[in-house]
Amino acid sequence: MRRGSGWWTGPVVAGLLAMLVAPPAHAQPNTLIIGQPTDAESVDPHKVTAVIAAERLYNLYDTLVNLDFDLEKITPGLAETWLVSPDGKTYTFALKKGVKFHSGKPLTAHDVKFTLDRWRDPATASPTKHRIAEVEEILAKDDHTVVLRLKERSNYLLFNLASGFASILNPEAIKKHGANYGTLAVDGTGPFRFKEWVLRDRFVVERNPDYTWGPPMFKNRGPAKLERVVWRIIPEDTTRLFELEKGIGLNVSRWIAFSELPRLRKDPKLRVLEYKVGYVVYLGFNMNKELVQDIRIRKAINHAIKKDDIVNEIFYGLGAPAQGPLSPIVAGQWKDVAKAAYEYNPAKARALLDEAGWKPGPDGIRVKDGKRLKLPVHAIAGYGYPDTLTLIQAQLKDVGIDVEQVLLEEAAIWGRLKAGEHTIMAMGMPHSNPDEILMFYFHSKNRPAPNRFNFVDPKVDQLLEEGRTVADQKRWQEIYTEVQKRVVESAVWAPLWHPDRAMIMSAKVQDLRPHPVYDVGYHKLLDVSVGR
Amino acid sequence: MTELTRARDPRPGSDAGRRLRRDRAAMAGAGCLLVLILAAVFAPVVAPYDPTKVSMRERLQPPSPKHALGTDQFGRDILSRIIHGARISLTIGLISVGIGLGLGTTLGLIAGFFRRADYPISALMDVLLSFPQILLAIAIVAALGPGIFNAMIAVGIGTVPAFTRLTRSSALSIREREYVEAARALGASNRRIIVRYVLPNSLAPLVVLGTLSLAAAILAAAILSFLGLGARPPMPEWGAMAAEGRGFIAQFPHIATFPSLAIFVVVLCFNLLGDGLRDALDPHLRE
Amino acid sequence: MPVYVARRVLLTIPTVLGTSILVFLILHLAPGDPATIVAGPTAPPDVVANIRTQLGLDQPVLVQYWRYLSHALQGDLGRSMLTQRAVSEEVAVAFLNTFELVIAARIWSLLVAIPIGVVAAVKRRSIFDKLSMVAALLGLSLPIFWIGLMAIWLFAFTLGWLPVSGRGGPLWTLDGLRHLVLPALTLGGIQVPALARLTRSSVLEALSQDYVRTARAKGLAERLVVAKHALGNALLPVVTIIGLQFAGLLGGAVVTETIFSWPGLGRLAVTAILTRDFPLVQGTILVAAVTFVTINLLVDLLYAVLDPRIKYA
Repeated sequence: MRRGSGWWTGPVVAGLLAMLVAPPAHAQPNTLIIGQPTDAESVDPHKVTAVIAAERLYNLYDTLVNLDFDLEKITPGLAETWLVSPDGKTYTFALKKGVKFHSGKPLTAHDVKFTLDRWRDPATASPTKHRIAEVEEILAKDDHTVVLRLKERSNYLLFNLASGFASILNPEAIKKHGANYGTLAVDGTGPFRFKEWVLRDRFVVERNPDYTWGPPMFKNRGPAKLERVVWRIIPEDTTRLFELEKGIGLNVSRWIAFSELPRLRKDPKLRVLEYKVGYVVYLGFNMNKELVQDIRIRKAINHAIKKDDIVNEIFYGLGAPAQGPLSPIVAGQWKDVAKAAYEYNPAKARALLDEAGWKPGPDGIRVKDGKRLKLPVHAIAGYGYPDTLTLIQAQLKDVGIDVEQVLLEEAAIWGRLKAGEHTIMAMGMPHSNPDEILMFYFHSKNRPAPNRFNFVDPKVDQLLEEGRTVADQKRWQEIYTEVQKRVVESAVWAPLWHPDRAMIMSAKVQDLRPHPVYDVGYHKLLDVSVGR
Repeated sequence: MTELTRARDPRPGSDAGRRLRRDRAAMAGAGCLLVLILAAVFAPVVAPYDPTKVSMRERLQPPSPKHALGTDQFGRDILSRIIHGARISLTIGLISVGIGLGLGTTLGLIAGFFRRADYPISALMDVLLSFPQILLAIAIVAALGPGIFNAMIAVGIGTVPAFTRLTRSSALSIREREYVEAARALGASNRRIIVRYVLPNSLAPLVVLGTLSLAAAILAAAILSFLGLGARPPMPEWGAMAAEGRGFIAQFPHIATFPSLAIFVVVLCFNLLGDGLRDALDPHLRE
Repeated sequence: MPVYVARRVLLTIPTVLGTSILVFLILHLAPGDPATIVAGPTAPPDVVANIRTQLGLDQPVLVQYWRYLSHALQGDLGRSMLTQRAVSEEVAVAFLNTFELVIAARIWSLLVAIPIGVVAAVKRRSIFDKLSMVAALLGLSLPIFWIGLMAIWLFAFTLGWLPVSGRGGPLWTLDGLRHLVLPALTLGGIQVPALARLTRSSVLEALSQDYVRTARAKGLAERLVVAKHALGNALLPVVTIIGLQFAGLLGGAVVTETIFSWPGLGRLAVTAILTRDFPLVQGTILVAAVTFVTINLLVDLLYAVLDPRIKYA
């Protein structure tokens, strides 16, 4: 560059810098920008299990029925009404009229039949097909009537049909897009239409202006008030927090470090909504492993863990200590679980370990027959598990147990657990009814996974099966009380805590009510709006 | 590594030693390293607290007389953790460079002395160099599973090509020299030639490369731990400590900063020493 | 020359092939069953078995590799096991993002590093030389993740100026540009010290050459000596380093992209490795390796063109 010809660069550079640093230009009106740590793999409801996928499903599609905010009431969805036969084995759904897919094709009973058949077809290999296992036959009686015939009475069919994985699809779109369906193309009947997906960066949907068939659990039945919803994928806790807090790119997130909550609650530009979900975090013992086969060791661990510290010190009080396997906000809870649960009592834990023959060694860690009491715990390297385990590690060291943390990526852990290499695992599970968690985890037919504890109790098996079909409400409660009792008494778990969630949003976001089902938080965003 | 190839044909001995002693920066680096090594060896004595002792009542404290560098989210004393972490980081560096040095020189000598082995070894090194070292390390960790020991292996394998190339080229150049030919004519075995001529001649550049590789290895291992692929909690590895602290940088930036500074100091010391060694062993650069 | 070029190009083939074999083997030795991962935590065994067959994971490793290679040669890198998307598409998007980041970082680091290196060499032993080289040494030893964290802390948290995560939008939009600033600053920043040191030593070496001494002896002005003779020759090794350091740049991109949630090749590779998404890992590493090998090739060829002293048969 010749001298003197560059006089203009100074101002231009300065202008450019000013432009870059100026307040963000992306403050488009009525756009909700959600911050998430990870992306979904697909939004084909039959290919996914993740919470982050489920919350998109509710907004892209509709289901036959919906589960209300209380996790108990079943409310209409695409089915205006439904009839259950006296023996409980036939369900007849009357579909709403005038419902159209985003592509314009009207919804018919044949689409519903196609969807549910695809869900349970082994060739689809849906990871959630067990949710519809009790269905024997699906019939489209006419264009707006669907009949489901069951093998047996079911207490949970409607719960499962309300899940996002039961979203109703357009067969034409599935056929047309083949393997690209769910990633490059989506066609649903939901309040938002698929717009753009830059994998691991952003997922964008825009308002479906024709939508008028929203479920009655929302004030606004459609179309949605929001122009557009963007899910932004931000794996780093810190950057997610800063972008939300400073209003530079996010206006809501459920995944903010708990340590920041006391500060954020005071921020007038933000609103922090705390709410309960049906969820339990636990330590589960693998009964196939010799070290934990002795119930005294399992009980000692139960007594040695101070759950209050986990809740209060790591998660800043956002939740409650868990006594049994079932969340207290879910129906079927055993009333007296707290009385039977293992209280924090390190002296008792030490006594139990002494009794089991484990005596303190030179470094304080217990020894038996020359073997140190070293217990590996498998957990996901995220979602607060590393912190929880570090605290438990310190608590168990106190009674002479050496905990080794085996932290794995979320994607890698399932295979390792399935191979049964774990002695103890720390994990969490969302649930809306007792079957969803107790049958899943404690029925012996579900070994080696999801019954990764190899828990076998024929009485529990029989009770769980009866619980699915029993009609009498009192008997139903008795069944699940007995199951919880047996699970707690066997000490196959050390239940840790029931987390609550916090949804942190910009004060400009209006009427966003978190939904606890499947821990999704964002059900249909019909009522939500974002002010200037 | 073009700067290193110049370090050929050194004149080892008192000259280099004198030059090194006069290099104040290198001496500062060496002195600082000595202190760190002592601290690492005597960590249990030097550190004021147990590095893994959780004390929730004292968590997230800024530096104070009681905790010189403050505490982390579990109330653990950061200074004690950094002192114990010195053990880990120095061990990681030594072991992974040891792997690189051992494997690399062996392969380099084989490649330099046996024509038939030269192509496959060189080709393998080309492959290893054809993707970023950190990606290679991550892939190896993915295969072996995360953990401090596997991280050392991964970082060590990453340093192999540099050592191989260095040894190979000095072996190639030396085997053609007259005195080597003469020794061979007198019936000296390959082993004798390697021990007697090749290794002593490659020693100086190997020392320089080794020192600089220590810096790189410690940094690489810290990055692996930062990405969650190296040390496991509650191990006070510096990269892992920085990673744990990054969630708190809004209110407590010291948690991530102090371990990062520790990495910085060690790497700097090795770099200073490595630079000094190179200058001392390679008078060509010093006019 | 054409012979040299042809030979040089042909020699890259075994390297790329070897890379693909190495990655394939490493991943197949890895524990963890990809079919289980794809199926998700709640899937029953028959579903997992079904998926395993679909993905061809029940075949011998050699068969799997051969199938992969023959498809790859036709430009088909398979489909991601997790998302079912074409790997070539995912990699292409990520590649462009990384390309933007790396180029932006490289440009600004060169703009800063080369002048510093040249001035430091020309004014050898001056205060500037000493200070800049001390700074370079300090910079060389800083862990990149800490630089990134501090950049985030300063520009996003304290000042609230710039976004700190994601791509934001295409490069030509304001959002896209704003998102690029901090990652590029961080990634470029860690390159400056090494580049500056290298430029300095190259210029120093060039200045000590005979022809420069001759030019000086002839009484040419120092500035002219530096500009005409030394710089041209000194830039040769710098060109090499620009190529070589691309590996380092891509490596730095892994950390930068992680911290700034940048949807590039580095983060894609890490994600793919951690999720055991075999085709995706293969694809990303293969593309990274091919890019790297190509850059090396170009640098070699450029070197041959620039340096008349090198003769090629």
